[in-house]
Amino acid sequence: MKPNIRRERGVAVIQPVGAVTIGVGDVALRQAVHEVFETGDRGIVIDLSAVTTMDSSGLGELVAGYAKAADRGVRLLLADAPRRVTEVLEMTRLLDTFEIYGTVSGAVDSFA
Amino acid sequence: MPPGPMLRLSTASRLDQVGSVLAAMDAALEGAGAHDDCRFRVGLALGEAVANAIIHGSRYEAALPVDVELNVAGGRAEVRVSDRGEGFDAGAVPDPRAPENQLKPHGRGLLLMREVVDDVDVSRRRGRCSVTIRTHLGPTRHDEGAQP
Repeated sequence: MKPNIRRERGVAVIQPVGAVTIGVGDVALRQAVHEVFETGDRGIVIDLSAVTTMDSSGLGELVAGYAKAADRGVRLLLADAPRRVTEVLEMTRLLDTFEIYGTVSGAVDSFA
Repeated sequence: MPPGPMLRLSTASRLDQVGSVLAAMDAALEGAGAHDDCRFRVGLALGEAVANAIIHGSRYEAALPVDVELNVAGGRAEVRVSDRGEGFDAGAVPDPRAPENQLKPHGRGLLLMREVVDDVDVSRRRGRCSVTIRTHLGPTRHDEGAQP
């Protein structure tokens, strides 16, 4: 399913929905991040609230997006991760790699 | 005679088949009375194992089958995923947690499998590479973690 993309105070908020796993949602997330890069937003927040499961492929898309954003001087943040998404981030020691906020509004506020 | 597997299926080596394998496994585990956490753990590990079998074992050759089998006994589930590939040395897979690998998009599948279930075993015999996943049927315990 294609992620929802919205703008809040000049920040792009990408909301993947459902599974972000190999062949299901991973490529759509990559495309959404690339789409946002083209629009030149000052920041990107990935709203994880509607993600039901994420595998290594989904994690790989988050990491790739984070690295590409950093190359462009853009901050890419994660927000509102459900317990099971937080668990896979923790298992793979990615909690310290990303800036993670409890809420989307908190993440957007951090750009102020 | 011992009872046979609770589930045995064979799928073409196509990534669009992973979802149907996971759905069949989830239904079988539900039928076995597995806790929701167990179904989540097995689903995550099985998805990684089947994807690895298709990508690295079958090298996307759709005609090569990937076989999946579930056995449940003594409050534990054992899931075996087999492909016709060359197999791999699990000990030689780079640690994605190492600083130099942290921003690489690939290489976290085996780690996730090891973290999420009790035991992951990789073997090769009779022309097949098999990954065996073992976990208990109950809720996830806080002391569960990576194998050494």
